[in-house]
Amino acid sequence: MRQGVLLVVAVLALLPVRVWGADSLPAPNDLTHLSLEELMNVEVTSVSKKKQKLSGSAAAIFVITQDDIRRSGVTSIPEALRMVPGLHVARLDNNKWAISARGFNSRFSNKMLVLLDGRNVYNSFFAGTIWETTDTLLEDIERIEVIRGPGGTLWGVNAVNGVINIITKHTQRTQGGLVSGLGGSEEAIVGARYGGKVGDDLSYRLFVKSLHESTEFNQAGAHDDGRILRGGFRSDWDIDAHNTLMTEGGLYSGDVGQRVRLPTLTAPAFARSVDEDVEMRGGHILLKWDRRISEGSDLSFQFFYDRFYRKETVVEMTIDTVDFELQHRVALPLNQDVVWGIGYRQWFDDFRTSFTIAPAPRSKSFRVLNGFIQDEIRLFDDEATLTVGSKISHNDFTGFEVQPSGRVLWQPVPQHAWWLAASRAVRLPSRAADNGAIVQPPNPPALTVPVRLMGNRRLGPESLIAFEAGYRLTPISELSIDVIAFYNLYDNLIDSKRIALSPLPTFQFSNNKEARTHGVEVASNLQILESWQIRGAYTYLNIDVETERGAFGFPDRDEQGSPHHQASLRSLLSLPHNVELDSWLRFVDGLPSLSVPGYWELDVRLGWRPWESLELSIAGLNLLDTHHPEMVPSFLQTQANEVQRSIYGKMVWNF
Amino acid sequence: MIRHRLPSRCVNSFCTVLLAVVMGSVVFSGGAFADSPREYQVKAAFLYHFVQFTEWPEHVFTGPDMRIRICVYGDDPFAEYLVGTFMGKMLHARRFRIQPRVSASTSHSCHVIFLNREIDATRPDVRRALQRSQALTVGEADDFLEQGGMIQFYRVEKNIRFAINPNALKRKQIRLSSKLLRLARVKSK
Repeated sequence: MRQGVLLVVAVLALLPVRVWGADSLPAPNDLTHLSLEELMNVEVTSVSKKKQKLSGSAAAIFVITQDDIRRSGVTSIPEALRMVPGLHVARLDNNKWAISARGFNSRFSNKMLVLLDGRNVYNSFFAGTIWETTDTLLEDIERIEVIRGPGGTLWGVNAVNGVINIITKHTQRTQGGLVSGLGGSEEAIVGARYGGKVGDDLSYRLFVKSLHESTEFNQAGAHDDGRILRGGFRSDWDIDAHNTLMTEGGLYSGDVGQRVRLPTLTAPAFARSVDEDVEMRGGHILLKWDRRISEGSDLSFQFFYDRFYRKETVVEMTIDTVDFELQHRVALPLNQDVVWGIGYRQWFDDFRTSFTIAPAPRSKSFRVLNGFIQDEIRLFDDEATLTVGSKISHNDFTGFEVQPSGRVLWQPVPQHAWWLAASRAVRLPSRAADNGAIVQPPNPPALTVPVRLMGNRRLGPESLIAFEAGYRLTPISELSIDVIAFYNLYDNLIDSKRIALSPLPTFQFSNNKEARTHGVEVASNLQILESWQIRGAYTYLNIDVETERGAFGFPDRDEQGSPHHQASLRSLLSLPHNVELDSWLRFVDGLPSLSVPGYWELDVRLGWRPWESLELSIAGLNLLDTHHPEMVPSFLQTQANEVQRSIYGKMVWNF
Repeated sequence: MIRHRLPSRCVNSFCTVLLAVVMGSVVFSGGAFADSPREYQVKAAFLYHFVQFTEWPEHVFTGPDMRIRICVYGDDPFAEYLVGTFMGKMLHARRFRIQPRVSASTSHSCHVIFLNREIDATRPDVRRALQRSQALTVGEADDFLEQGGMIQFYRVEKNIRFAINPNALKRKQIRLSSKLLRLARVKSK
């Protein structure tokens, strides 16, 4: 097996090198030695030969622009993600979110990969994204690219169901100062940014953001208010015509409230509730060097270091991550575009454990080594694109993993694009599932005593084979419709099996679950007038889960824990005198197994720009109910609170 | 379910192979392979000559070593041809800098802005970008000069020609040498 993989790597490695070696004369593309008169006599061939980017890509991609963020009136990144078809976004309490594409949603949705300016924010302990720490100044976000399905990305072993890629603006585009203030019934956010230049080639920005959130609703009272202060910088340096260096970093510190149910060994309740303020601190630094070797060849190298610290009653953890990535893109003959790369990531963690959460050993380090190669071949005069590639990784949990994918895109005319894709992806077991113990409080009436879940050092990776098909229609430039269907086959999903009944019922993590999911995702965009745009999205999802006998998990939780239907309709209206009126209607189907009913919600925003540099707005979010539940937690039993109607006013001043 | 826990020797050899790939590519990938469409190579060369024959008002260069910025409006692969054409060259002891994806917020520092045929110069964001800059504007759209552009490329059969709008140049106090004016079709109003 391992010789085989090595051989594959070696062959992949040698292939392009051979080609480069055989044919490496630079193409003479500098014609400045010709005089103007001579240039006027040069014959050029067809106009349309200029390399055109195919409007389509063979993946289920949706892009949230800065304008989408601004006009939707959202106050956080997770809220903005509600507009993406195929994604389920649910708020558990003021600071906790459950976000996943194509099912299996929970606070620790472990099949999504989230990147912030290229930094992978995947938490190795929870195997998920801690959304309360994933934030930046919303005004500085350039766009958020969301790709559902695997293989849409080149990187990462955990991008099974999708990737969320948050990209901030180049510092050339954030020159000068900005102050933004938002105050309302649910939160107060103050942000400031300053962007400047050193000489001609180095630009930078600095920002601070302070977030205060008041509690959401719960009949028993909520304890989920939070305060987070963060600051950061980014700089972009054009070293010369071929080299650029981006540096980015940040720090945050804060505390967020939660009410958590803890298991105890005292009858009759075997549980107690604690109100606490979770302490969070962290920081990171990232460097990205891009080098243009020649017109058809780019190299990029990225390094980041990230520290994550969190302290709550059940656990205190420090996780340090170092990550290196190197990527090379080269254009090869016969219309090929090859990208390949390698990456290395290592975590060092340290825990203060408790009766509830006790990973073993208390302190450990893990490595993941990645390699990938992808070849994009344009065929039939650029009408079709074939993309084949594979990720190969080695990790300390499960050894070697190969994740190939193939995609084909056919765009005979610009108005129509069809694509098909098949891919394999894996998710690694989390640190918590690998070794250690977790004790869950009783869950009456089904369970009247605490339950212990043990780690399993023999866990294999969860795997997925995914089939996707898409059609993109742009009949006129004012209308576009994107329809995507998928069929996913999951194997070796991690659930648990019973291994003992006393002293406590004890289960062990185990690869004993399979699932089949299918769904349809539609996104459309209609420009009715120059000043009026309508954007719609619809999602259908169905999940069938099969668990082996003796499993602890509830298949219902997976099957009905994600909504069957979701819809979103946004209207963006520009009125005279720089006034904008934007509204957003959403429907999310119920989650019967979690006793969460379906809901409709409406957001309305009124914005006014009296001068170019000043923007004032008022907005009402979740206007249709005074409060509504969206999700309940699965693992750590924090109290789920309901999302309240909120109203706020906001000011953004550029100077 | 089966674990492949590997001895570190194997991980090391995996690293070695990957390292070899890196080294190999860095060494061998010096050459360019793209068979660049000739039209844009030619246009890049034209642009180079335009710059030689252009005189900007004194104040657009804030320092003696400020570079001459050649900007490309929006997301346009033309910037790549410009890099190949301008790299390593100098004009009056000033180096060049190619700036892709220019928009209204970054156009003010450009000396030349290129706009491809898909860009409508009457769009508010484009208009704002052009108003804010002191740049020589070069475009491809058929009505580029009517919309206030300075130099427009056009085709006669398989040859590339250019036309000039003297009024637009005068407004921004940009002077072109008589050689350019002689070769261009001049738009008169």
